[in-house]
Amino acid sequence: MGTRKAVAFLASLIPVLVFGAFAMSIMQGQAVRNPRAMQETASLVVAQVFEGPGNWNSTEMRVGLALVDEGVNYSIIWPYVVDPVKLERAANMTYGQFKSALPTGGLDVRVSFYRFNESSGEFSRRASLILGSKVTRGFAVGQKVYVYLAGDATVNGNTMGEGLYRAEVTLFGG
Amino acid sequence: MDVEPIEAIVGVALIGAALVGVVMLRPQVQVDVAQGRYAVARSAASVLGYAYVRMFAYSPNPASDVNQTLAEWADAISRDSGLMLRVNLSLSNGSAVVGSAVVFDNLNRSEAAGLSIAEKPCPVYVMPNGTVLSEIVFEREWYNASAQSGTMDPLRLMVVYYDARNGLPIENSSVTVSAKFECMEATTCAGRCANPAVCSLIDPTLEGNATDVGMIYEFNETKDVVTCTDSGTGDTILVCPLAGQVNVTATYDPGGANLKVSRVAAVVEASPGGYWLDAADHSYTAGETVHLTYHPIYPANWTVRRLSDGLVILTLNDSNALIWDLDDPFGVTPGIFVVEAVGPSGPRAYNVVMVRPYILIVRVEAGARA
Repeated sequence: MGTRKAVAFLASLIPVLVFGAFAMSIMQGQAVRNPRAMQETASLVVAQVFEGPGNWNSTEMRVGLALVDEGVNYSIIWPYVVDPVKLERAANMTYGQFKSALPTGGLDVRVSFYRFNESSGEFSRRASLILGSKVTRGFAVGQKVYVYLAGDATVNGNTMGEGLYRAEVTLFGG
Repeated sequence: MDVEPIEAIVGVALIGAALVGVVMLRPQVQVDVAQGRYAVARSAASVLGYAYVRMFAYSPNPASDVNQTLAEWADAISRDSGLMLRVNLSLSNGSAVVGSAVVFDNLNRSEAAGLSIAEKPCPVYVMPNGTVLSEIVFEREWYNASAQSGTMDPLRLMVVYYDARNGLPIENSSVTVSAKFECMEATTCAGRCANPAVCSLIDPTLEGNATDVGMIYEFNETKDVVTCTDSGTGDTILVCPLAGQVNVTATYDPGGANLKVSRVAAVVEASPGGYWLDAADHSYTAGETVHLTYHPIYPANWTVRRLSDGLVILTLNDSNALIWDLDDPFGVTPGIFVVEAVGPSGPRAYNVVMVRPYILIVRVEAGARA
């Protein structure tokens, strides 16, 4: 009698499990509600963070990490070349300050850096630095770019060495 | 209904698994294929352009090492992004592309499911830091002076003033050169010379202005040789200059701040002659050809070194002339270069040329694997 009850209980769980797994996989794989808009936003964030020098002194701060080679009469902006001083400053911002200094359109944002290992010829699997939100939720879009850190940067006591990095910009929410 | 222990355990385990599943649930990052491909190409072009400028154009790293590094980076980006890449560097003088080199290529166009192309122009130039360095380049390893002919080689030399950071020449209003040779003292001369009247002619100096030949300053004056007849042997001997050293000082005066540079050359007692390095021009732009000649018959071994750090950019053996085409991204950098020629005999000969900053265009083609 007991065995029959147990078998019946387990059998009844099968459709629940199948349906639950199906629902979770659908949820995880579901496209964002407006992927093109989010993708455009991600491109805007990438452009501001890595192609521009930012505006670090105004009240409406804009985060931009691009290195500027300055002279007396003019300057050269190096897109995708990260100024270590600006990176340290961005890492010391609160999440609220960081998010508000980017054109995220209200979405949450994360910028991760993965160092290139010269000896193995591979990029590290573990992020050397994460700017922005440490957790992700909801739907997400991302863009991957390659950057050069133009000097050593010290963040939270850890030193990020000069060199090539993969940077991943992820927007999420909804 | 009674709940059996096994049912309770299974139930709790399933509820736990469900909770863990929810906690572990992460959104799958959506990546727009075309935009992502273009972002990779665009960022790779910028990074490789910067690396060229910093690791080669303004560093003493050999061209082959930098070329290999850029290829390794491109390969790593290709594998990491899953894209096929072709990286091409082109030189531009501002109005036309004058040469190019392929750094990396694993792009199979016929197999590419989609292609994105990014081009990044990079000025091969860094800002000066205002620290002026200077150098005298003698056009001969030594200069000959002869008692028999009563003549000596002209004191030909080049003077350059350049910024420490970018190695590019600095223009001056005027450069004066003063050379001081070793000569007999008047009292010694009077003791040795049968015709001591020449002792009153002893002047160890040679002074004059250098000529601007394109932000490089060339001095070309000849010291009048003073000789006398040895009172003992009757031979003609040198009174001035003697074999030994000649101290040369070049001075320019921008805004009142004197800057002097001094260097010592050698004088050898021998018949004047030997060969010079003659340059058609001293100032060049990417796409042009540097042309220097040594001797129509006797070939020389050539070396081209960057003045600021000694980087050897070119060597050539057994040639009467140097033809240096400024069309290879890894065969030229901006800055001042000292050209050296070593012939079959006689002193080494030198000259100086300047290459102006140029534009490097990095073109990255990224193809998706089908």
